[in-house]
Amino acid sequence: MLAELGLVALTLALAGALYAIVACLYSARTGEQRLLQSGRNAALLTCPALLLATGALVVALLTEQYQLRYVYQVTDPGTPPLYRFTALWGAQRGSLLFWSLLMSGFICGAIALNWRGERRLMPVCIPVMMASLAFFLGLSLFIENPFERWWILIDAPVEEQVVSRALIPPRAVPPTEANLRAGAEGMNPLLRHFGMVIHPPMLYLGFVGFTIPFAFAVAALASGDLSNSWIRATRRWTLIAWLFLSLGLILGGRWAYDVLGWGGYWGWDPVENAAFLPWLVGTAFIHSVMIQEKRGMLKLWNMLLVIAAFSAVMFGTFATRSGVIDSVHSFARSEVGFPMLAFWAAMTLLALSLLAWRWRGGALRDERQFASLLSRESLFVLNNVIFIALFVAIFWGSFGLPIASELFLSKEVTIGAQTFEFYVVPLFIAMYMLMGVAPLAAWGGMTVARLGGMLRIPLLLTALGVAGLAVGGTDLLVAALGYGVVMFAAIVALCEIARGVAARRQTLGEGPLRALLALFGRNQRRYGGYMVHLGVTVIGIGVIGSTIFQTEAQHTLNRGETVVIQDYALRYEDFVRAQAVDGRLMNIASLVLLRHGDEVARIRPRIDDYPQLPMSIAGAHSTLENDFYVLLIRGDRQRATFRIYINPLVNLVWWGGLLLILGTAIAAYPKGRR
Amino acid sequence: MADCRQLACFAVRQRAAIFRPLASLLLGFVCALLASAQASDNAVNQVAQRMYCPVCENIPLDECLTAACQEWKEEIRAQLAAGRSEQAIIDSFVARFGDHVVGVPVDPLMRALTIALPLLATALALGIGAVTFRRFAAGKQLPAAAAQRDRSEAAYRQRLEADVRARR
Amino acid sequence: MTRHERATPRIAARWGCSALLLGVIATTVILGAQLAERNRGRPASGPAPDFQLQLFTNEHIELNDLRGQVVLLNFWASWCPPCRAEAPDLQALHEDFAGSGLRVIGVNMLESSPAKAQAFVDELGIGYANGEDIEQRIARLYRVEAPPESFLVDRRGQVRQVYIGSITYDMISGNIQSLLAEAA
Repeated sequence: MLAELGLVALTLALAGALYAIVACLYSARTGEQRLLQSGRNAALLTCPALLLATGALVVALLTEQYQLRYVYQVTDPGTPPLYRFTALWGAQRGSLLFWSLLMSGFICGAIALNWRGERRLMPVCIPVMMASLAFFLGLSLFIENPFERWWILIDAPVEEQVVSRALIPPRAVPPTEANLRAGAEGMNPLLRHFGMVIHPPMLYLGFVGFTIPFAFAVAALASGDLSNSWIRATRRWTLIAWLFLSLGLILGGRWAYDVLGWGGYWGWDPVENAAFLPWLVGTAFIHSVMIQEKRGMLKLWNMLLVIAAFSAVMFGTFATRSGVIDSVHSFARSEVGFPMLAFWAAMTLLALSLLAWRWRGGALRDERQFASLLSRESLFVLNNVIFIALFVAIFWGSFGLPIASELFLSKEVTIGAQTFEFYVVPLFIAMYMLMGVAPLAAWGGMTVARLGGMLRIPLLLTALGVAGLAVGGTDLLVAALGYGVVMFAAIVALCEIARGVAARRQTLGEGPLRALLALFGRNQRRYGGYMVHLGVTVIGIGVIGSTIFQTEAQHTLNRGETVVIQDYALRYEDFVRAQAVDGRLMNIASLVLLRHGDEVARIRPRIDDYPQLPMSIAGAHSTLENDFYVLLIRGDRQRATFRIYINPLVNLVWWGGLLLILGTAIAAYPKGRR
Repeated sequence: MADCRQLACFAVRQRAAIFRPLASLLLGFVCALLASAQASDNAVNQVAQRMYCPVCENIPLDECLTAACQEWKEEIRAQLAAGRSEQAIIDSFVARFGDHVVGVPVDPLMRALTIALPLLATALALGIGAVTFRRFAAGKQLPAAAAQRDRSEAAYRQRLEADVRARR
Repeated sequence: MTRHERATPRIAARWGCSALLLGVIATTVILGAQLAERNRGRPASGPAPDFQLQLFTNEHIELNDLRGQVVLLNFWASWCPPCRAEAPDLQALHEDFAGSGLRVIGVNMLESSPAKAQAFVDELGIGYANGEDIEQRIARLYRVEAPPESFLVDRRGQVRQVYIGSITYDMISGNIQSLLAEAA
């Protein structure tokens, strides 16, 4: 019953999307407003229909309908309720449906909120959004149907009797409940973590969010209405998508840190990089779009960036779901590869052709030209150069080179973290320096002397800070310089906020807190942006601390034995085997962590026994200063081997992330009409 | 998506069917080997960090838990005990398994491609930026473009009003 | 506006856009080819991909030279327990059917040192041909995911059977006999 409900709802959503495309495009030709409204209503219908379809799948997961192939694949009778729910995005079929739901939610939001303001763009905007949605719905319905059920064909030969079909085949009976329950495969152990509850939805929200700016950009190109109105409509949507994408990346890092057990949070794996690429383009766009708004410049470039962001999202989706690279990430290996590649190419080519057409028509000409090398806009251009260089380097390392060398030279290569760090670190240093200088530069141009004057105080404070670090015992020159560059960016952001507060206090006589709140409230984008900058600097300090100063050692301890690492002592106390609620066996080591002779924590790293692969879950004692992170490598009651990491300042990565999200939320929060 | 460092290994195993009891045999096997080992775990990890799992793509050798990786680590241990240098050990693996077992390709062509292209791209991006600046160095507000902007805004406003009228 | 200023964007547009569009098309073709290559499964039927193998005895062997014989191709590693379990059965097959035209070829893969492979061969008294698959070239041709995997190739060089995981004498001797009975 649930399967039929889901199938009907899914079909309805697809029909709605297709109708919306036709109706809106027709209205674009004829100007028929009622048809446009009808198309809009059909587009809005996809969301409830998909809610129903997803709801049906969730209910099937929660009520253990193992006849559904998807439920059979991702859960088993031992799966706890929370993970039954998260199983919705635990494998390809479910996650495609969930992805469609999120996309349709975003689209409906965009249509509802921008219907009045951007009515003129809607006849093209809705079809573009609906085309993206229809593509994914088509995948769900025809290739990776989450509502397929197991059937036994009575008349077929024995080896062909069990089939999975969405529609009931003739002369078929369902398998017995007992057989289904016994055979259910259960969830991938790596996904049984709290981080997996929120990380994929956030990342998906970030991904699908870029559909909206793309649709507006294409609509602007197609309709020829290239005034700044499409920018107004997309700016906020880009920020929202960027917010979710950032959150998804940060949570992904956290999940990797907690579950994957290598003492780090970012490994430059192609799948991670696939999610990082749209983020880089999005960041470039968020900055350069300001130039267009303020100065009417870089129109062509901004168009290109919006198209590139969506294209990067679709490419990343293709790369991670098709198995084109790194086929072992089989979370998602399936038949969707070629359709996705075709879709990516078609959308990118369509948008670029439109862009080329308008460009040659001269519609994207800038209204002003760069007047001075030293101006806010030229520094923003430099910012874009850095982000694009990062994009190219990371794309080449993760996809370009490995694919080209395998295909043309039949040579497999691995591009590892060392290679990425080689070219990414200098670019990030440049980015932080720019982040310090750019907020001080004026639009239109300024003199070196004036900029120097503004830089004096932040530079002085930075010098003091670095000197403080040197006195405090940071003896590594590289680290001190790194901290210095990042600190400089942070100090500039703080100085700008302080200056704003001081100005308000002086002119309006407000108290400091009130002035601060008013500052953020009145100029959300500017000060939200500074807060994001602060967050990025906090992350930067965490990254420098936890990579340059990471201590790592492997020790084998007898029970009762103590090992001394820096000013910590670690004692191996006990080893127990226990069974978790879902039936897996856990080997838990218990250690006591002492500092200066006092017990500060008990750490319990463990190995979970899964039939396929044991999983090592770290135990950690976490403070703002550092994480004392312990992995159980192997062992028994008498003797065990541990891999121990001390990750200084690693928690700043998460706190900085929080600041970044908060700042973005402030910048994106809709302003009430004043 | 920070997924899948171990997932990769897991997936290989899953696809290659579950009957292969490599992983379950791994603990006892490694412990037995360990008894005869001399080089420390830390020394082994230091070499293994620079290498990648031969089976799963993109998993550093020191983190990988598959049987093949454990075996490789023991080989590193043996070679270290025999007094070979870190680089010599890595080179010996590359000679037999190719560039995909290290994070930085050893093959000169590959290495050049790895490093040169991003640098080239960065230089190109900077160059384009510089040319743009030079060409526009003396520019100021273009009257024609500004007029066009005014025109297009006026036209937009006109269309907007037409829309509003149409809706009434 | 001067003519120069008007002309520049046109030329830039033509070249820039052509380059971008061509880039996207080229990328699509490359990705498609790569995807097709990656999605290629094990050769479960059809002609067995040819390869050369240097044996531990320093002889060279090429699959296409073995036309007319039935070939049992076995991928193994010394650290893999199921490989160890199946080796005596492979040896028995070699002893029983070599006379009637069976060639058993062991392809050693993912071995951390050649000495270990040699020790494995010596310890189990393996008499059939064995060699190391340098850089996993053969394993990649046959899409081997993890040892042990075996491929049965008939007298005409066609793959007839794929075995994933360890095999036993009884499991495959029947198949071998029927392939041996076929004409070349």
